[in-house]
Formats: sequence, C-alpha cells, structure tokens
Amino acid sequence: MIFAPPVKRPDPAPSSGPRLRAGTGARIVRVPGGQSIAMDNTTWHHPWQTQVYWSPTWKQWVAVVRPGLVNGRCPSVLTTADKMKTTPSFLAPITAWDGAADIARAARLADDSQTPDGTTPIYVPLYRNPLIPLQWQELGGADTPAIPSYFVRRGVKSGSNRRVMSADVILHQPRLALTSQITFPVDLVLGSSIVTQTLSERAAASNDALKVYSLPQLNPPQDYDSGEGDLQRSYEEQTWDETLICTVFLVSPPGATGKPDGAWIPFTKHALFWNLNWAQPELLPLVSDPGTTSWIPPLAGGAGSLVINSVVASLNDMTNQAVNIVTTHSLAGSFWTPTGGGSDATFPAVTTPAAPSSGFDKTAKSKAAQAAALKAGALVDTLDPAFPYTALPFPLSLLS
Amino acid sequence: MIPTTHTLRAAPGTLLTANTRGFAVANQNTGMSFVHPFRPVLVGSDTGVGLRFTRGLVDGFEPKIGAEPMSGTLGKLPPILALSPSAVNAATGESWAVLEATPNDKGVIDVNSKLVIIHGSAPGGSTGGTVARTPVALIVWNGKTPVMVWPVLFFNLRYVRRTSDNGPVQHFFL
Repeated sequence: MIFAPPVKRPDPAPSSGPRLRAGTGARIVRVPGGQSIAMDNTTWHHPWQTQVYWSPTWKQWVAVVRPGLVNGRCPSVLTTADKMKTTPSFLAPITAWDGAADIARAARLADDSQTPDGTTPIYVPLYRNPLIPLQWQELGGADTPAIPSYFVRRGVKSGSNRRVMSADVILHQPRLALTSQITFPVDLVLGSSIVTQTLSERAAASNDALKVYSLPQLNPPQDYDSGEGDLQRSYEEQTWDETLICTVFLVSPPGATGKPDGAWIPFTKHALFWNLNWAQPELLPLVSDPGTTSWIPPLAGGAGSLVINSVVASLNDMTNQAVNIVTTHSLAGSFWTPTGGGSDATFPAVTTPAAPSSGFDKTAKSKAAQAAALKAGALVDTLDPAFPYTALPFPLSLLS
Repeated sequence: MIPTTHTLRAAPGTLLTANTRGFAVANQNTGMSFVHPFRPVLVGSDTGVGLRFTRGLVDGFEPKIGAEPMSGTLGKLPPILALSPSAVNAATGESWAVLEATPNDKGVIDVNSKLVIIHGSAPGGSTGGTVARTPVALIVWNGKTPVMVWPVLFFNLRYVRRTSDNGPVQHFFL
C-alpha cells in the first residue's frame, strides 16, 4: 500500500496581519486563511429578568431583578439604613457602583453617629442591583394542584418527599383612587332628607413610590363593582396598582424539613418581559349639572308639602345616582407594553427554516434540529415562553 | 507598537481594543441586547458624551435629532444627541432622552408633523397640550458624567390621541 507523503500544514495566520486576542465573550480560531472570530451565543436578558441567590449573610433566598422601566422610570427597592448597615451584600453594589456621592452616603449610613434614624426608608433603584428578600408560601407536596406540572416531570412526585414553595415578586405603582362619600343632610324646613353621594380623588401616601417587593402571593385588586351597588355606599379604592413580575419556586431536597436553605433548587416563572407604560382613567366632571329640586311652595294649605317633599327627595336621590352612574368608574390604572401593534400585543411565532437536504450550512442545520426538537416536545417544557415572549396589550378602555 | 496593516473595525455588539500586542476582540456576554428600534448607545464626541440611536419609527415616520434623521443620512454617521449635565435630575441623578411628537389638528402624525428626540430632566407626560412626549432612554449619571443608558423602547410606535369635552387631551403611544 502506498501512503501519500505528509503535507506541511500552512502557517495558521499571515504574519503581516494583526494579531488578535480573545476578549470577553469572544473565541478566536486560527485557520489556514487567517483567524476566525466567534462570539459566544448567550441569552439576551430581558427587562424584569429575575435571578435568585442564596444569601449566606441573611440566611435566606433573595432576588435581583434586572431593571424594567414604567413610563421610563426605574422602580426601586425599599430598604432602611439599619438593613443596609447590617448587610454588606446590600451596601456593596452602591459603594462599588458609582461615585463619590454614593460612597459618602454609604459611609454615613455605616456610621451610627451620623444616621439620625435607622428606620428611614431608602429607595435603591433596580439598576443598582438591590437584593429583594423573598417571602414564601408553602405549596405542599406532589399532589397539590397549585404545583405546575413542570415540577412533576422534574421529580416532584408522590412518594418523592419533596416540598415546593413559591414567592411572588411584585411591581407596585401608586395612583389616584376614587372615593365615595354618602351624606344624609336633613332639611328641617321641608321635613325631608336628600341623600348625596360625593365622588372625589384620593392621592397615594406621600412616601409611596414605584417599587418592587415580594409577597407570598400577589393580592388580587380590591373587588370593585362599578354598577349601581357602589353608588349607595361610602368606599375608598386602594391607592395603588400592582402586577406580577415573576413567581419564584423552590424545590426541596427529598425529606427536607423547616425553612428553605441553600440546598433547595430555585426556578423562576416570569410574567413580564418588556418595559411598560402605565396610565389611569380620569375622573371627569359633568359638562352641565342637572341639579336638584330643593323647594316646593306650600300646597293645599301646607298639607301636601310633606308628600311632595318626600317625592322630591326620592327624585333627587335618583338624579344623584344617575349622575354618578355616568361619572363613576374605577380609577384603577392599566399597564401595557408599547409594541407598535396597537391594542394587540401578540407576537407571531418564530419561523424556523426547513432542514437543508445537503451542504455544510451548520446554522441552518442547527436551527432545523432545534425546530424538530421543539416539535417533538423536548424543549417545550419550560416555565417561560420562548422569545419573543409575551407582552401586555393596550387597554382600549383608556380611549373610551 | 500598534499594528497598522489590515485595520479591523468593530461591528455592532463588538468591542475592539488596539494595544501594543495586537487587537483584543470582545463582546458583552451578560445582558447582551439585540438591534431593536430606538436602541441607544453612549458615544463620545468632540463636545462630550452623547447618545446615538438605531432607527425607530412613529406611525411610519422617523424622528430627528436636531435637523437630521435619527439614523443618519446616506454617507454620514447618525447624529449624536448631546447630553448636558444641566438637564440631570439632581435628586435622582437621572435624565431622559424624550421623543416629542406634534400631531396635526386631527391628532394624526403625518409628514408635516414635528418628531424630535431631545434631552430632558423628566421622562415626559401623556396628558395636556398639543405635544405628545414619551421617554426613549433612561440615562444614569455619576456626577457630570453619564455612565449608563437603559433602553425604554424595543418596538416601533403607534400614536393615538384621546380628546373629551370636559377633560384634558391624553396622548398614548401604543
């Protein structure tokens, strides 16, 4: 048998070309024609993306939310000077992140004599990576309906003796609220009383702010009936809107008891993926007030006045109710993602190419293999939807 | 000595550094973004640090920075939005690039509408007046230096105006 003589491999890179070095996220391969640069294919981190860490300092799980913006503003995490002083991991991002002003502030916080009140609220924007302590609720074992099937396929089964806990990370937006005040002024002259309902706006607390925090479960908004029922009682709406950013799940090791620790496994299921706009309806005054009838001259020598005034009072009540039916509506705000698609925020499915029958197009082959795997259901089993995710549609009620 | 032959140029998402030992190529592998409409980038200029944007559209029309389209004109680099420290909100150390749109009398943005991106100390409101405003980018400052920019918009926009007989005009960007 005759073997071909060994061939000398060409010089990997032309000596006259620039020498390249791989920096962060880059990979350089020397090939006969020169050098090839490849970038690591890393996942894009969307707004509101939440990462979960075990904090050895606090002995508890904490979350860090990548900044998402509401009307261009960055939400904050509420903390106190005491908490920052006792938690170096909370203070570190602030001192390391920016300049002299914040370092000086951190130094003041760290100095007991300079801190007038350790409970003074301090708002740390999300772009400084503040830690959010998570508040948990027990979901139970494998037979609990609240546990997503995602975890059943990951070993949370009957007899596995694993526990699942969950915590909600919540976006809090202060707003004006609608209030209703019912009064019954008695008219001594007419011998009647007219029920008056006054609608007004109530502002949020002065120290309330756009913020992110955790609860075991997001509280549903106050039950508000904009029908006639709410026109006959005094009430006050809540002065905030809230929406879910994500739910964090913790799965225990088999046989775990007590509070969750670093041995538990975290998972996140996001509800928000894009920046938001927010607006609330306005409490509009009537263009022309129909008014109420307040006085009827004495009839039948005054004997008919009582009857007539009683009827007038009822009519006035109904007029007030009719006016308020027109003007009353909840001032609850709405979030939406400006997608350019009007009221529709449904993204089209990502198209994937068909598998090439031949050739060396590795990218097309890879995408085709991924599409085939998706079709087979191998990759569908995720807590979050695939890119381009989902968005909140624009509420058309704001235009009515 | 910095090599001068075979000059490399950095494409979007690539950081190219020339030093005495050659070139270093890097990309941002954490929080890597994609090229979307209205994507802001902090850039240096002769007059300081400014912002450049990828092209974004409002009802199909491209906003301007100064007198030029935000994505530039043929043969010229995109214009830079100058960032002035005087516009920084002193309480928060933040400022915003804001899109201002002036619709016509019918509340529609047309070819004659004024569409500009400016730098301001507030993200803009959606109520009142004839000019609609919406934030495009949040800029975080350290003293007098912008150190971080966060995109507000990821998609092209549609504009809708709501009027009523007894309330202020409301501007919405969908």
